[in-house]
Amino acid sequence: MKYFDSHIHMLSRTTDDYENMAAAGVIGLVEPAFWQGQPRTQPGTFIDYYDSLVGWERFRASQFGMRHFCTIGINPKEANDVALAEQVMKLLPRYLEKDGVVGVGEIGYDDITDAEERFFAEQLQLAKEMNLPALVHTPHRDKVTGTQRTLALVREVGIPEHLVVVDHLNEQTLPLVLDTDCWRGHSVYPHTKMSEERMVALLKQYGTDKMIVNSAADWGRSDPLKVPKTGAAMLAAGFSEVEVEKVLFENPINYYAQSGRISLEEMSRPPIDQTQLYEQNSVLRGQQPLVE
Amino acid sequence: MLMRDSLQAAFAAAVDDVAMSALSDMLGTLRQADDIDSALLNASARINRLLGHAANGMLTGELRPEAGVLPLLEWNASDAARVLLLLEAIAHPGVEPQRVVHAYFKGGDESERAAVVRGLAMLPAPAEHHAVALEAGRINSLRLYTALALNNPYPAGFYSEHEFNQVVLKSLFTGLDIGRTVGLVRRANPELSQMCRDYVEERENAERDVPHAIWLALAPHMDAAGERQLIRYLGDADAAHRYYTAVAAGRLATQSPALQQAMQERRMQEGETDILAVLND
Repeated sequence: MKYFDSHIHMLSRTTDDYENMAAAGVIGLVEPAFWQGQPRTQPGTFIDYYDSLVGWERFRASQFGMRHFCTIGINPKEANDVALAEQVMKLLPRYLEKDGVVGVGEIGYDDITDAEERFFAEQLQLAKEMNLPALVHTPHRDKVTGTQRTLALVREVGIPEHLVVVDHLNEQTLPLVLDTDCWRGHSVYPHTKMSEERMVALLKQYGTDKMIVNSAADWGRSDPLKVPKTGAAMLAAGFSEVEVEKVLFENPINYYAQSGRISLEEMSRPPIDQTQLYEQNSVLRGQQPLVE
Repeated sequence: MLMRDSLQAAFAAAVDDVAMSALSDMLGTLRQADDIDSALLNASARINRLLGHAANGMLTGELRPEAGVLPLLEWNASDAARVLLLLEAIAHPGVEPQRVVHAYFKGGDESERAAVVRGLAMLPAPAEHHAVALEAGRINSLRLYTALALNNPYPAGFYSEHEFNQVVLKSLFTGLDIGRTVGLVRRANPELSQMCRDYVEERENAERDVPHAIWLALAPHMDAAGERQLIRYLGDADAAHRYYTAVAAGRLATQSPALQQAMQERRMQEGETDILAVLND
């Protein structure tokens, strides 16, 4: 079975996670730009972070047999620092042109403030102008209102709905998105967000079209193997392997393929060559390099 | 009595003469400072060492600023000393209080930021420091968030309805007891009730525990669906749910016939004396 994790924050994960994901059949992933657990205070912090997403992290993934893509954006939490956010917005067009960047994200609402809405709208507009997918985070709190406001803003900005994936959906919010042409993202966590069993129930109830499942693994209590584990749960529940690969491999790739920078055809496991360096830096720590 | 004097009295009651003298010296030094921002941060950073064992002495009593009751029960002597330093700093001739408060917050560590947030409601012109409070609410430090959200009249006194609702919802989300949210009854509103109702449904869908005190925010302006939830939890196996639903229902000016009946049935069946006392109140 082949898998693709459409939303995972690998900067906060170890190389063990890369190895385990590769061994479990995860071929590639998309790492959205997000917040780092405490507020950034300077534009330079964003520059260094974005550079790492398109640079070192992409290289590190390749060294363990994973294809790494990313989305770039300013997240809803840090959008509330308006002066800083205005400076970061000026950086985005340049980074959105870089190799490996497949969309704008993750953007959206957190506390649903005016400042968040301003920069959410500006980034949807940017995605529309550059014809890029937009990965939208729905808030952890007041999810129903946040999802409703999200869909209203998508309509107001006029970005084609098929370019938008509304993520972190659940039983209450998925029906709202089903009335649109947006893609439907779900994040499976050990103790919060969705579980494999609940995800299977939603797939049974609503089908597999435009349905995306990811681990959204980050620095908190999360599991980078939740996509393959959801696959196992789907098989146990009677879904076919074709259906499992549709949801957990084809759907996320086809969604991001709208960027023109990723495709199902090219999505194969990259051969590992650990003799490679990134700006003279190696992932090796004394071991013999693996070369396939 | 001025807020500052009241806080100083509460501080004096919690510490010994040595600590009191140390603080007085620091306030005097601050009064003479040229660079008030640096002087404030430097003094603040030294507070724990200067107060010694007295730093953790807990305050008692409450203050009554314009925004509402400010309980001091979670303030330690360090918190009080830092707020007194801040009050001294913003009284410095020629300074802009808003800028000084913001600079102190930005430059402080977690405990200093918590002290600032605790004291916001008692600063002169407290509404001017709204941005600092909002920023504190976005930081994922539970210590800092607790200082803002619990036993603090600032959100109820100066937040918009939406902002206040988000404070309550985030408190529920992070497992805090909203029974300690100052002004919750006064600021309850229909949107907050709906948010809480949706959150109960979300938690049930995920087969996760529903926060016990959520009923205090849900009940005041609940719709029919919210009332059905509350009635269901009035008979829950978890005594804490039965307690909080009873408290919330008891605070309502009017109860629907369905709720009255549910309360009456609960009175006949309830075995816990504290819950029965609430039901019979």
